[in-house]
Amino acid sequence: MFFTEAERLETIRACRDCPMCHMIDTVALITGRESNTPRGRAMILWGLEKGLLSWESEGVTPILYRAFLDGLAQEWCEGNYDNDELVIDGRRILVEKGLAPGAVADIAARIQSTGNPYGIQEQDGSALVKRGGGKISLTPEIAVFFGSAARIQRQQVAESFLEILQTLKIPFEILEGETDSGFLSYQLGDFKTAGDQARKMAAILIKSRAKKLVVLGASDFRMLNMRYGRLGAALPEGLQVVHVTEFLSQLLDEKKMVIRKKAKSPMTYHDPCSLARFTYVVDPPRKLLKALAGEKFVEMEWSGKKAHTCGACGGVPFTYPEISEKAVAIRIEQAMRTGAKILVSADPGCEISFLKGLAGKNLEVKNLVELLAEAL
Amino acid sequence: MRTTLLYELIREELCDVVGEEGVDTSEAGLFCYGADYSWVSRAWVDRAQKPPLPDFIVLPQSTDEVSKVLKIANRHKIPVIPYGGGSGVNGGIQALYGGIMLDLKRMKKVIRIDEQSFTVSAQCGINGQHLEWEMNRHGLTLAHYPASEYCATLGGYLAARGSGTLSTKYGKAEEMVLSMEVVLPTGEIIRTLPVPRHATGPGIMDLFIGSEGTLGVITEATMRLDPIPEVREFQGFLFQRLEDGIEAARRIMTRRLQPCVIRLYDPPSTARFVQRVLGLQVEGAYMVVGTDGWKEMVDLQKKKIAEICTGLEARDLGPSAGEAWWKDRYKFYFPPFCPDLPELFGTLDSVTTFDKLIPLYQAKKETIEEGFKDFGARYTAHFSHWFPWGGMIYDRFFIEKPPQDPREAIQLHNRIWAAAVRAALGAGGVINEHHGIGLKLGYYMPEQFGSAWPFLVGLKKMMDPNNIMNPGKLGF
Repeated sequence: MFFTEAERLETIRACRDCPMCHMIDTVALITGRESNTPRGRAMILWGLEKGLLSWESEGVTPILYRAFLDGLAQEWCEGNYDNDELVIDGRRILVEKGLAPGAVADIAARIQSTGNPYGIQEQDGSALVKRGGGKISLTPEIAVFFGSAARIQRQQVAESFLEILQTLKIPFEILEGETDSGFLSYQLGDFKTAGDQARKMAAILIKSRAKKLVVLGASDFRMLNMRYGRLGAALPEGLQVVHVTEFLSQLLDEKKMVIRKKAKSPMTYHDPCSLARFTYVVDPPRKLLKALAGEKFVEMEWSGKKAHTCGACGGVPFTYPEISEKAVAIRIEQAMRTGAKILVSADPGCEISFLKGLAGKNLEVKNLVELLAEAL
Repeated sequence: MRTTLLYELIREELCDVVGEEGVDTSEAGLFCYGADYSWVSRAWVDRAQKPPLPDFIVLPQSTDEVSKVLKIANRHKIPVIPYGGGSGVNGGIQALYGGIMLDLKRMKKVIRIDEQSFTVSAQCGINGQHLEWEMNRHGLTLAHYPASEYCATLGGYLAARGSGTLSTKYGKAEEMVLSMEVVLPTGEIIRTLPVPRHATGPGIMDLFIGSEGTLGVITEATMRLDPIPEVREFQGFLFQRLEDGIEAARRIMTRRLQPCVIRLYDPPSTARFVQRVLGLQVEGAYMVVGTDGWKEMVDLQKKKIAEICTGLEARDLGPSAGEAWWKDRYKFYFPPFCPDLPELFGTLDSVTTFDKLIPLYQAKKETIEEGFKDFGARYTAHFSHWFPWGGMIYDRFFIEKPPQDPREAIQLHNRIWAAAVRAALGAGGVINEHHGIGLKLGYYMPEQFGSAWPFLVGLKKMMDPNNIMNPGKLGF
């Protein structure tokens, strides 16, 4: 979301002529097409601006939706231009005009009816608490935001975190009625659904007794911190929002969490885009991994701020799954090159993506929280 | 063409060769190929003019597919424009007559690395930076670092006779290539000899190097590699007079001190680029010299280079000035640091022998600044690629407030360029050193080649009887 129209136009002008981030765009690498580079996308947006193309022109929708929006181009760009936000803004217009891929409306309908983009009817959050052990406190130190991925498809991550809280005797509460954060809808350009979800969650958060919210999902963490305010969903005053790796890393520093069982298998770490860039939570997961695995933790070549996408960003798994699969394969290959047997992530959404690409690979995928729960 | 039955038939033939996913005919997809990095193509689109567009984007994955596509193009007599990274500055990929934009970036495999001979064979659609990273994993380097490395392809390096930052030591792309596989305009696939130096007749590889897609499609190349040097170190110097800097470079080169780079900025260039991009507050002719290899040899070379430079009254700025330049060498090409619209600008470039280098610089500077002073034209230059016999001048012109009307702007751009090119020819330079001819400079090729030009035209006609390969470029 650009602050001003002038900023948006300046970004289009900068990007439409510049080929300096071509080699960093995963979709461009996969398809080989100029249209799938940041320059190509900006060129189209300029053409739309100047009437050389129309929003209905063949190719506009697929080109703008074939983008991971992982922030890597901006990180690479010496001028710090935000090509991803240009694309999101373009998607917003396509949604408004009814020209977005069908998957966007499908996701909106699923979120509206079930509270998650998978369309799965959810159980009450207390079921997770029961399985993870422990009970909800009336005087919580923290509140937990699971996120759709952990609530539905990666429940073991949620359970593992609750297990850690029980082991460390940290009083917590969950958010009754927790629903999707709206991040996916935002990235797909569906600002209405994103805004509705943001306001719903903000209303839920107001009721929280805790002053610290620990978020399991990296994208949810980014959404809460960076977009809720601008979507008209201000967070309660004084509420500190932290990612689960920051929370656990601090416990490690304060010696409130002690790792008793060191990891035996070599492991590598995938930085979720929303942590690697945008929120820059790069060191806390590494502190935890080094404590857990010592020298068995091996960095990937593309790590930290320059981490490649897991293939789950930008809504691409829903709109262009074949491209997402190829991106997953690229990242898994990078992980396997380290010799690691475990690919660790700090975002349940990334894990869902990786799990689709593991067939025949001698590699396990785990969330960092799962490994820590096993190690305490 | 798009609404005809013939268009649909051709589309189906192309899909049959490369698959549905390998053909794009969408309006938006085609639009993305409407401009390269040339000022003219960018300004045209900036001023809301519809750019020349191809009819088809075709993305082959193999040499065989390229061959079949060219046969289709020949049968239907439609143009084919080989496309790499689209980073050319002279309009080399503009689809003036429509046709097929043959985007080679799906042909990106590294085929073989020979760690004994220090060579790599790769498909020519591989991105230059990706190729370099892959080589680095083996402790090797292509050592080819053009400004376009992030987007250009191996094929583009060769087809445009590209030059990298370290070409002074490691050579231009044309000096790094051992052999090539090429698809001729009529679709035959040929391989050149396995080595570039021999006594087995004329070197046919030279036909294709610098041919900019007009004589065939380079599909595979074997390139020479180097080991990653033990050290690579930089020195910065500041000359009060540009002439002294050029003399220093001449002495360094003619005494075979083998720097990997000498980059010398004239005073306006120092102000516009070095100060602004690197934040180094220096005035004068700023020079960076780099040396690499074994530490002992680098130390000796640096000592000798410093003696030459300070002997010509340069101020030794120490290593950090040079290191900063190397670290940020690509920053100059990102917005907002690079030359950009709405300014009117062009990158001219030429090369000549040492005795003519200063007169060439002065001739072009005067031509631009005097000849177009009513437009407030400014001229900057740096000297970036050196040979034992001379140097390359990488010069640019700028007009801060050009005409808004697209036709007037392009006419002015052409007139400045014509004047600068003729000044270069008159002063003993050539019309281009490493940015290529493309569309922009094709008009001057007969003047450059003189009596040899009909021979080149005849060769083109013989090889490309239907004139399908990148028509309108290279002067053909």
